[in-house]
Amino acid sequence: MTFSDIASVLLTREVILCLFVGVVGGIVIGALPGLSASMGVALMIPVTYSMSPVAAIVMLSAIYTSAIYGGSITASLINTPGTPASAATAMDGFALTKRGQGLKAIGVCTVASMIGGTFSGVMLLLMAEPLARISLLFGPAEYCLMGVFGLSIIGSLAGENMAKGLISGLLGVFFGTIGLDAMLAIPRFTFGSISMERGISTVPAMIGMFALAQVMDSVFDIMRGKNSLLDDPTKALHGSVFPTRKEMKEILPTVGVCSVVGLLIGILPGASGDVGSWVGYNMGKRMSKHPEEFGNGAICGIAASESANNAVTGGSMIPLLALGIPGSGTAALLLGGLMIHGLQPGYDLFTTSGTLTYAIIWGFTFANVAMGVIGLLTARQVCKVSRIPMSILCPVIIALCAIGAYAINKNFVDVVLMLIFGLLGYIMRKTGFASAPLILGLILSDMVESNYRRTLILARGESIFQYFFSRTQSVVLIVLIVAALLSPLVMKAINRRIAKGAAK
Amino acid sequence: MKKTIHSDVFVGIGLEAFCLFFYLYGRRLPAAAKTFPNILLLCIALLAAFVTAQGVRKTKEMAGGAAIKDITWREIRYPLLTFAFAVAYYFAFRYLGYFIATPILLVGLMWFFRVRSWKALVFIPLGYLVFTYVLFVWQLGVRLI
Repeated sequence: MTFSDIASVLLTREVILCLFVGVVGGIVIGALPGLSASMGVALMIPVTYSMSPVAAIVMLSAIYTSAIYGGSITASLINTPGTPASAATAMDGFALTKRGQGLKAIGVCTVASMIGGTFSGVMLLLMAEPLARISLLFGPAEYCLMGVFGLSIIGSLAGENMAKGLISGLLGVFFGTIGLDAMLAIPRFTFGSISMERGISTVPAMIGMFALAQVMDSVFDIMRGKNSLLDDPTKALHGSVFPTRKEMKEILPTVGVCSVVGLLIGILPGASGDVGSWVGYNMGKRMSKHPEEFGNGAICGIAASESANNAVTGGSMIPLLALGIPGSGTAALLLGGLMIHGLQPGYDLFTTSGTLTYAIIWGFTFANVAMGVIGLLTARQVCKVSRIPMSILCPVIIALCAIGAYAINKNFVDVVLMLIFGLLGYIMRKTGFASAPLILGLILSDMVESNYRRTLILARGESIFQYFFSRTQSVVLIVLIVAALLSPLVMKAINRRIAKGAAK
Repeated sequence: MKKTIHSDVFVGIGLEAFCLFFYLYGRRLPAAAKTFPNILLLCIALLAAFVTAQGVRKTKEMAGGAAIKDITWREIRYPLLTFAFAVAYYFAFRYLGYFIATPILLVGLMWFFRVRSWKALVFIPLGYLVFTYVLFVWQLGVRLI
């Protein structure tokens, strides 16, 4: 198997066309609230039946990574994350758009997504097999601790009032317990509704909390005569979509670290792009010299979450290709796509079907580059969305919220959930509760609870702490959690000392 | 002078009621299924008590003449009215169908937001319906009619 063998399989008209269709389709799917990457991949699998395996899997993986990026466009421009993985991006991206810098927000999103995704593609190429072995060392105890590690971010998302931020996060975790109990298969807090047994879907909750609540918040401004999304409507969306050299210098270390974080999270089965973006955002905030700017339009905040969530895509394909273990829900669908085309994940995939496999991985890497180029070329037009008067945009967003929530399961219960979470999100905004921790709690709830209970069973009567400390990988994660919890205090103390030194 | 109570007091009490309701509702669940939610409810209840105490302190400060930011009816009446539009839209979507309910919502809400341009009132709902029909009904096979 030589590079020219791979190139001859990859550089065909069919594969290139499928790559671009996948990228553009993925961006559009991701940008529409309610249409997730998994939905796009699931819908396109039947379309790929007649294609060659390489063209089919390249198109599906291009949809996957581009949808994750596409979600950040609406997240940044109208505070409506297209996918759960873009919720963290909305905080800083939208703040930047409101200041008339939507173009910069999209530019940073695009560059960070492209770097994160391409990095994960290269890592997929280089380290598929050795890295996949790490995930085999992880058991329920480590997954539980991974969830707790994710929840430690709540402290930094809490906003001005820590108690309210913690309540928001805990409410999210509690809402995550609604539905069929994962261990005993009995309904919990479902009020007798069969539809509620599958639990509260993240997407309708997120659409309500972010999009509907945002519309309600904007209504007060519309009625006061402020009809523009931008703080200063006279200010055009100016500047270049390409980040300046200074901005690149600022975001590159964050992008680098968060790409690695996203890659590692992607490798771990069960932790998808949404978890990756929050952990990346938290990491970016901890790394930043100006953490107070996070949430108020920090470009490093956008870069952190976007590089991490796109790095998750390649990461989740590592155990998928090497061991047949999908790292995310969308990767599970890709597994179906591989099997339909006669590709059995595992060692054989890298030997017997090596040429096809490496062509697919190269195709995925190119898809990330194409996504960046297309994103940057179309950004200026896309940004004009933020100049549409709010009085027109708000009714359209409400209609999109309803269809987005409904289309996931074709179920009206999801529309009701979206409305309930919309009202809840609005009340929370008005009473000083941060809404992001609630969504984070909802996402991580099942991971923490089910693995905590599995760990209890595995501990066989001994203390759960004894069990945690008997496993090296758990100890490493506990150290990381403690470090994550203590680092803001340590950083504060260091900054205070530096400020004192400077004053002298 | 009109005596006002800070919203944190109502929020705190509301959260306590929420915790009590779900604690009582989950009483019949097996211990393994209710332990984790009960731990969460206990933590929320403790934090809610803290928020209530903060609210009482803020109420006292407001009574003493301090300017403390709080929500007002004037601020939330239009957003709540918009939410009522969204609820009505849900029922219309469910019982009349998406393609009848949506133009009514779009035109009604734009009119409410003082959009008077006939071009906007006609072409935006029309464009939106064509877009959703092509994407959701035609491409994705979602039944909306």
